Amino acid sequence: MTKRILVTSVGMIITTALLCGPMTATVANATTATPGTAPTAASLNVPLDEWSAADWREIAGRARAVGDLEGAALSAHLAERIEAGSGQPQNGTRNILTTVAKKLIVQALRYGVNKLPAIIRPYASKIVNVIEDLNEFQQGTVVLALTKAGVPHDVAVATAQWIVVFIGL
Amino acid sequence: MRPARDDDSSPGLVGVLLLAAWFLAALLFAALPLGAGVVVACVVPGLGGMRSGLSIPAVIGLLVTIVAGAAIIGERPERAMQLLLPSRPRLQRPAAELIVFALLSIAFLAPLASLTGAVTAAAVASAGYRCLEPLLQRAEERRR
Repeated sequence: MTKRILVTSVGMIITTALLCGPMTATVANATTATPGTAPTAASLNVPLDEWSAADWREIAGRARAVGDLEGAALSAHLAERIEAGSGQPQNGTRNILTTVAKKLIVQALRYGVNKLPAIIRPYASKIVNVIEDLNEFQQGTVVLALTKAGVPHDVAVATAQWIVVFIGL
Repeated sequence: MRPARDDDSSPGLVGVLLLAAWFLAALLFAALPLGAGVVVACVVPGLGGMRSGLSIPAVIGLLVTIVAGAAIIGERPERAMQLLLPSRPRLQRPAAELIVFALLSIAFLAPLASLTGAVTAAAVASAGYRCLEPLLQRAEERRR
């Protein structure tokens, strides 16, 4: 009985340490983070690292003014992504467990791509890219579809976020 | 050996099988920290060990399913917390971590006999993933 209590206590201590780690990291990041810093746009394969959320909002406004709803929706979505950190960790931030698992799978797939025959390597690379950016693709597509259907942009973004959270792949 | 091809745009049956094997290998690799958690829960006395009647391939299948589920869930708990707790940014990540840890513990109840064992296995698996996190970040930065 004493042994069982001892083992349970050790388990609880490990659990508490693991759960308190992210909290302290979050607090540390909150105190050291520079407001307004934008993450890289490398996931889009476009060299737009220097562009801030305000830049994208300005582009969205201009696109809306000339009637380019798709361009406006996309630019506003990019601004939202930059403001929200786009789910990509900035230097020093921690990922939640599921994100680490996903990244581990992606890295293992990327490592394995080079071992595959050259003939199927392009397919494998495309599969990895899609897996990596699946959520962003889905959210962007839903925002575009809703905006095209006449839903205001802010409502479309909020709706798309919930749709992807609950019924996205 | 070159994989069979129907035409220039199709990888052929052998190609598809190779892709499936490549995918499965990546999932198995990503499930290693979960496996470490199960091993610890089985080796440490008093944690209950595995459920009776479960074969090793079945446990491996369960772990692969768990890791695939984790990859599908991805950043979703964090996003849900951002939407549910917009005015409390400091609580968002810990809340998401807590939810994921609880889900992982529940998932471990499938192969493991006791809740204590499941929680311990989840803690060991979490520690394993945390150890791999800096390596993953470095690999990602190198790739960019």
